[in-house]
Amino acid sequence: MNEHLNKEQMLARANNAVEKAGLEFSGELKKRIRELEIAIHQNNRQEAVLMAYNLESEASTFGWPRVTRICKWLRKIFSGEFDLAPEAEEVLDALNALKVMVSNPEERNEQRDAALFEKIYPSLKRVISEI
Amino acid sequence: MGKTEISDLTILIADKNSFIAKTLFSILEAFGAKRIILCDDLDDAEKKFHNVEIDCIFVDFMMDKRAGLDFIRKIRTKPSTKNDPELPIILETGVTDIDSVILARDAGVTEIISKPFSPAQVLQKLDSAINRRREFIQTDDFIGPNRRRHKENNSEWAGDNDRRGTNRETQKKAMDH
Repeated sequence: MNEHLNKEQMLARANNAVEKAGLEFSGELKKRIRELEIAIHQNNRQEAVLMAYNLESEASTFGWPRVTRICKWLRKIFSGEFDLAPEAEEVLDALNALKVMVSNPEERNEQRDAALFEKIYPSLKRVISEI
Repeated sequence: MGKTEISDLTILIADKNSFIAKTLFSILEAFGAKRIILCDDLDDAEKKFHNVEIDCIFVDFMMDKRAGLDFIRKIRTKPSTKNDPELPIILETGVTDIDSVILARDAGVTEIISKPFSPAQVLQKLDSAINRRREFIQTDDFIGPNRRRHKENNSEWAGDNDRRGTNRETQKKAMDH
């Protein structure tokens, strides 16, 4: 490996590496959301918080902003950081929205995802005002 | 990067999130780092701290139920034959509320990098942690890099005037009038 990379070369190489990791992440996203859903259904709050936190970090790193926000919402509610307690139905709606958004990561549907997020946003906002 | 080349560094990444850890690993590798140690639990990271010479640690805030901060405190307070307590520590966090940032700063972190991070941010934080070290403070209630940034590290920092009394003199004059 060249020890004398300049800053531009270093960043170009690193950006390529992040892009590759992003593709790998997209390939695993469905499975990861499924695991999060299982933790929530089993009422394993600790695991749900950790999974949601990890997904939130990864989704934001690899360009999934709506997934990031829903995972942040889930992390916060399972950490007890909410303004009003969520209804079970609101949690299910959020999970279902996530599942649809990641259903086909290779062919993302921005229009559908925007509409889905808009639909659940009032619930997200009701529970956590600063979401 | 400057004074110290990344290829000369041994960097430890303590992060349970394999994707983020792998991404950080790839970024550092792309920068030319040759010695990168990945730990997915803090016990392992602590062992490495005691047995391997390390130049910089990246640790996740939420790792092992937020025990990342305890790990940082241990590094700052428990001597190791391989590493000194001034070892640069960069805390990765997806939680950036002010309380968490203050907690991290008071635990003695060198730099905080918020997730999502870009390669440019990683490079900047690493450069700052390694090449622009702040004075190390050891008091009864705090051990870590000076929580105030020095002027030489921040061109916009203007606190010196106040410390020299300039601001106070100006204020006094204004009050006298």
